[in-house]
Amino acid sequence: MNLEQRASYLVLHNQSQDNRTVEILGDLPSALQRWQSGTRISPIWAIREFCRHSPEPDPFDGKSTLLFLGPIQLARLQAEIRAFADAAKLRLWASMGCFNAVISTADRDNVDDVIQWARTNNVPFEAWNINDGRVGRIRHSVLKPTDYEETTAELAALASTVTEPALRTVLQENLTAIATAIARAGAVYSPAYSDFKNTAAVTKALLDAWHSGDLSTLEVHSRLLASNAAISRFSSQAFSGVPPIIGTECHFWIHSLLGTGSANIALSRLVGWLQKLLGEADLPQRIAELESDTLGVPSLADLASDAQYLERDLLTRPPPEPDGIPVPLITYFSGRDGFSSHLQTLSAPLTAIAECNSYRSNLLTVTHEIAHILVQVLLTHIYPDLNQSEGLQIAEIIAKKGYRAANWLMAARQLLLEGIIGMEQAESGQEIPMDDLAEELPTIAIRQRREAQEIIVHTLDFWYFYRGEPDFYIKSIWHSWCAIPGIEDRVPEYLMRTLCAVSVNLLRESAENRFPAALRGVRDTLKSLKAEGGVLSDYISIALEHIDRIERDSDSGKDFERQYSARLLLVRLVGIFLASDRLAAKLFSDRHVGKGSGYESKQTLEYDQQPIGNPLSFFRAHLKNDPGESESLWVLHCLAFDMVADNDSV
Amino acid sequence: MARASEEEVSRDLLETPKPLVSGGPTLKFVESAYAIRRWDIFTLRSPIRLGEEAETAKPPFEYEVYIVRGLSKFVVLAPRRRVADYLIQQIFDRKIYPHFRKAPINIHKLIQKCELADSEFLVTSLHGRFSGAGRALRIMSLYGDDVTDSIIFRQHNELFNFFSCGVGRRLYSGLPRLRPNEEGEITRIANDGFLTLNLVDRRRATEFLFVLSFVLRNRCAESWVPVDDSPDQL
Repeated sequence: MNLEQRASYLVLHNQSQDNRTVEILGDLPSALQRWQSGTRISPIWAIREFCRHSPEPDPFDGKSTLLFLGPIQLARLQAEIRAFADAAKLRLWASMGCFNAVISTADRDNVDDVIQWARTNNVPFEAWNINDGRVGRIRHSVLKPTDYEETTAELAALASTVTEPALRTVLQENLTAIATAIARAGAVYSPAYSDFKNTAAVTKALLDAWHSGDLSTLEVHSRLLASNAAISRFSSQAFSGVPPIIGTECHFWIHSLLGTGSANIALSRLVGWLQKLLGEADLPQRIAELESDTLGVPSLADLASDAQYLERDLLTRPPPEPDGIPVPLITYFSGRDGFSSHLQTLSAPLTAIAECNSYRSNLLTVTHEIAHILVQVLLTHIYPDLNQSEGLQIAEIIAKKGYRAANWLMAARQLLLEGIIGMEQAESGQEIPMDDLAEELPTIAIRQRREAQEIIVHTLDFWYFYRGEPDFYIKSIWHSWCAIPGIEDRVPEYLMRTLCAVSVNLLRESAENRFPAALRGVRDTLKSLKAEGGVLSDYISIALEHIDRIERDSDSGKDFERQYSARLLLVRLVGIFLASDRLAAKLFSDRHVGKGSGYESKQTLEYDQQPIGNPLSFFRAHLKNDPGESESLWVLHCLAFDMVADNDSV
Repeated sequence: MARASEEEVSRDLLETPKPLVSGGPTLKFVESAYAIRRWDIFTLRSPIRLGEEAETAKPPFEYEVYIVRGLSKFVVLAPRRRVADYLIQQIFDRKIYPHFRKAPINIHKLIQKCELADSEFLVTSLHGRFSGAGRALRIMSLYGDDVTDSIIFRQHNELFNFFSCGVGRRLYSGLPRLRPNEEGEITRIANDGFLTLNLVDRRRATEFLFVLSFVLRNRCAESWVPVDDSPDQL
């Protein structure tokens, strides 16, 4: 089944219960001209085999039925329902909604055939009887989770546990948002139902921690607030346009009729897949356990230079015991937040819905956000903790001249500390006297934390999710940066991060060759990217001018190289302690990949039942400079419905 | 191939003496193969060239096809993959609902099952793509009498996505052999459900069925593939 490139618009004019009409229009201006207070709209894309008539007759002439079905792998319809054998008798469109199949037919047998199949296969649907465009009787069928009453009872119990005025309203909002999400997800998409049950468990854990004094009122308040915003957006995007469709409007207005459920499912499956693999690997816990690893701990000088330590792989040790319930990341799209993350939430830009497989709005950028979440937790074990006096004392001890780490955790901390002290010195251009170091440490740790985290995140992102492939990585991140307006002044900073990230590939090279090799490699890729065109801002030219200056002017070149070299200790920290060949292999494990070109064989815009074993590989095969909206829809549908869950434990 | 239905697909339903669409292919029953139940030989008559016929050859083109019918599973054996794909798309998918789908095989799981000392079968060849970071290595192929017993496999198998493997017999009447296995590979199995075998006689056909039964019994086919526990799954 092949998707048309051009969208049509399904428009509902909902004036009153007795006055509802529906129409399909070929363009948006026609819809806007007829807009009324109760009008809702969604773009839909015809499946070519089922919409061949030219010119298209009005599907709502006379008596017919309009069926909304989903969430479903579209190719199943043709493979499993006999009604789809005769393409002349029904029409089929794909939508971005949770109901991603829209079917129109005047043949009563076909309607019965589809409804029977949906009931047998537990696929939710809604059917509208249409008479000359007027909406008549509406029927629907939804799922019923067996433990629904139990789940809502648990929510109800939580509501009465807090009387603290500062928390009461935010908790009320949290519980009602979760209740809405659970009710809607339970009706149409059971994986999200399970996730939101876990979200409720997280709320309970937060309240328990608050009751026991482990978390302050402000901390709980802030986490609930972030969670509320994410749940509310997810629900209103994913579960709009589900039964009763008329009563569930989406506030992403171009999708106000059917919502964006397919895109939300794709995003949450992609993020959930990554989160599961990284969660099973549990790098933070493995890092913490290095405290008991005292065998062959090297001096800082050796750790910073000897290539043998790069062979270490944290995952050769047995996996740590699972620790508590998995915290689900609540994902959503946001025009304001763009790509961003907190401990419990992750957002992608709204533009990614219409162009998820474009380099500029590339949905793969979520890997960077996930890396941020991972590194935040990792840093709690290795970054100086200034909130605890013990943390500062440890940092002071490590920073003393001649300190020799007694275990591998302290060695990791020492390497990190050396890196941020070096960054501070390179930035100020002054050596910090040993006598002043203890006093300066808190300031240094605060000032360098953000940059240190960014360097570690970029390096991890490059190594794990871009498989250490510089051209692909540089192209992807510079395209995303070039889509952000007004950041010209940050280009040197971004250039530095790029150089550092790709340098994880150069750690086995001699020290004097790393900087020039990284600089040449990045310059060459940026040059070809510039020649290729298709980026939205000209930051690449600014970066190339900066590289030119570094190469021409020996003072600024040396200054830049000093900053690079200090950061390279953080890159080395990743290379020694965090980069695992086994985990990298797991992230690209794929039992469906063949010997050929991988997912390039999955033809764009063609719906089939070929499974996707690895979303990262699939996504990469379909990234483009300027894909159409229909291609984005197709990629999101593939991620949402063709991906097989197959993460064996690491 | 497999489908989510327990309705039996009869030989008569498959036989297509007249094209389903104008100018389409036909499928004619010839005889039962090797006197094995549900193994049938058909002739596919195609209006387009699917084999290695000369450019000047004129249609229709005829191909011998073996079809092994199970309740919810099918095996189509044809001289070329293109012939099987064409038969499925142009005849099966137009007549049989729900459609048969290619049944992906979990090669990783199959290898794990074959590794065991009491497994009936062992691995005689393996092909895998490197799945770690970097592009220094792309593909590894291993061949041998018992590939999973090699040090190379044991140390590095976690770093590869294996996409096909050859399967041979490990146990004969429940016992291993001392000397190298002269009979070698029975069939080669790919993760997309594509099977390769040299079908020379009834014995080889029966061995092939035993391998398939082993694959299904150990739930190495994709999870949606219906599995019943009767010995006659195919």
